[in-house]
Amino acid sequence: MSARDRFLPIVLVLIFAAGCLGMTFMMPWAEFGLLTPSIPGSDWGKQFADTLGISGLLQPAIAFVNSNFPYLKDDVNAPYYVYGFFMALALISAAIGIAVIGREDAEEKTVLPLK
Amino acid sequence: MVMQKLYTDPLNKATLWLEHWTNVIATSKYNPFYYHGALPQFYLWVLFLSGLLLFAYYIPTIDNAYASERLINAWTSVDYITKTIPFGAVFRGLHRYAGDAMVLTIILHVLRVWFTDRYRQYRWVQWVSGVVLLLAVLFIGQTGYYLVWDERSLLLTRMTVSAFESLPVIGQPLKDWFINGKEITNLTLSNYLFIHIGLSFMLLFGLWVHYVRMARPVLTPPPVINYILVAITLAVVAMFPIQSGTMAQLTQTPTSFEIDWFFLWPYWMMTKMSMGFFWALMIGAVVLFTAVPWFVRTKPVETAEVVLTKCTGCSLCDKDCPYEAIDMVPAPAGSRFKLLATVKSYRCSGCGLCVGACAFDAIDLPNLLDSDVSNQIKAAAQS
Amino acid sequence: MVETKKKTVITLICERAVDLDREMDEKGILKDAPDVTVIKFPCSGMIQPLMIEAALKAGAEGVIVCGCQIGDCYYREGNKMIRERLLGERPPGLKKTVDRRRVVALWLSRLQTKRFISEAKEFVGHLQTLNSITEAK
Ligand code: HEM
Ligand code: SF4
Ligand code: SF4
Repeated sequence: MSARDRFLPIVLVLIFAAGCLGMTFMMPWAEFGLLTPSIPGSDWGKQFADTLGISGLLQPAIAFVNSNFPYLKDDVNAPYYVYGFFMALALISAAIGIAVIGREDAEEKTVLPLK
Repeated sequence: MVMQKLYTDPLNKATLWLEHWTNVIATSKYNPFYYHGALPQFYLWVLFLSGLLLFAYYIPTIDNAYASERLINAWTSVDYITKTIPFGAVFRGLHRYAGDAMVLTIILHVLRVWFTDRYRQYRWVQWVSGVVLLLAVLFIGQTGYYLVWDERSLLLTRMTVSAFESLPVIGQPLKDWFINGKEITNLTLSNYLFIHIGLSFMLLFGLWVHYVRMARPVLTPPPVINYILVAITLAVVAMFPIQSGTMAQLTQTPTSFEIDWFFLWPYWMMTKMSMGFFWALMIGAVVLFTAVPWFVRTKPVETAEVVLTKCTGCSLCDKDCPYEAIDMVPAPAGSRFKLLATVKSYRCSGCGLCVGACAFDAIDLPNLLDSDVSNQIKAAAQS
Repeated sequence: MVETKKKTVITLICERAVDLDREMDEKGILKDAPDVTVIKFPCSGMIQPLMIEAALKAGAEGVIVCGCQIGDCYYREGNKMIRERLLGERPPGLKKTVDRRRVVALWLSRLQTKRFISEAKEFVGHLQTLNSITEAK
């Protein structure tokens, strides 16, 4: 494969790997209840995020959760469901990332190796 | 010709087309159609694992008079799993939706083997054992709904009882077995739990029968597909969280319930027709479905034949036969070799893989002999 | 210019793989690539390495082996078996003396007729360059 043919798969793999990592990091935040602020509970996770100075980074995720999971507002399990949801996204990005590389093994033509 | 008919069959054409475009997008390596049997098998493992967690906390009783402080029964134990155990709700959701997904993937599997003509003749054992597996899966799923012991469970139990009671002769014993006595008691739920788990393990036996005539069945999809199967289920868990119904009270008579269309459709049917008609329809449908492989009549498979004088007993054909149709038996007295290949014709598909495996031209398909092939090749090479 | 005498390329193909019925005449010769003759099998798994050797020995220019997409064998594993045999991963394999440049395998579904024709033409061209190299030596 030429360098140009390789370019697109590499970019795709990087995008999906980044997506997978991002979603994986979202998972603990979801479990701390940070992404579902309406849930009563300890706010040690929130303090932790404030200490690290990254609460701002979570704003888009909080907005996403609030707009997509309104029915979880009064559910004690909201953090776990949201954790599961981000795990699903991470798995899908990982799957696509792996498939982009792995699909090269699928063969429609077999050329015999010279002995 | 059967095949000419097959290739003009719209259902077969549609399947081929769908598989072709899936290949274009995902390549053959990740084409889920090529793992049609492995998909439900994978969900079965998901169900076993998530079920193990639920089993650890589940209490199969309808009341517990000795625990005066707090009512401890099936419903409260499920409530405890859902509300108190970290990720309990997620595992419960996973268990429920993986069950639905298993039914869905079984349907996909059945349609594929049916539409691509992979269900008849030497494959009848797979088909018939498959029907039994499907029925068992449906019944296991229904018992899962009884176990929760909310109002729906109570209603389903009563509907099942009246369905059984409507049957002549076997009706009464069936009912007594089902609720484990004359009326609904704590023992009813222990029976439900036993049926649910016991039958789930019986599935493994059923699957053994399903696989026994296939060498190397494809049982695991590649990780990429597994990830996606789990991801879809997890996403559904978050998007449609399970709502527990109210606790069942034997004194009350719930009248309506939400239907899980994968498992509870027979109960929907019961509400639409008389019990007699319901049973006639169900039994008729199962009999028809089981008989599907015998609807198409074609001439029998021309099975492979061993050339006794040439076989060296090397067992390569035995190793490669995809339908376990070859046995190596001791060679007759006086032979130079120890073993001899024999074909169990009732299992043989006439595929010729054994011919491809044999380096001694010692096994042949009667309708396409090695010598015919050689002649065709020579004629073509010299024309 | 050396006069090269016309030789055939033999295609050993599963009757359920790529659809060539409308592409060939009764003798199995492809209309678009008259160098190629097609011989059908119930499954690509029936093809013996011996048959490929026989074809080359009988004077065929090259051999195309063709089965369904890997994963889709009607008889479950036929195409995987012949693929492994060609690659020497499963007995019986090709003899050492077989010129591996003259054998190619394609795994194409029923709808990939165009792809087959173009691969077949490419293979014919590849064999011609092989011939001119050997003749030049
Ligand atoms: C618990 C559900 C089931 C599971 C886990 C399952 C799994 C499998 C697996 C792994 C294979 C082997 C595929 C291969 O390697 O070629 C297979 C083959 C087969 N299954 Fe199922 N199956 C199930 C239900 C069914 C049902 C309900 C039917 C039909 C009523 C069915 C009909 C068949 C047939 C006819 C084959 C043979 C296909 C062939 O020879 O290519 N199965 N199944
Ligand atoms: S591969 Fe051929 S020689 Fe070997 S056991 Fe089978 S029939 Fe006999
Ligand atoms: S033709 Fe040969 S390989 Fe195929 S099922 Fe029959 S015995 Fe097995």
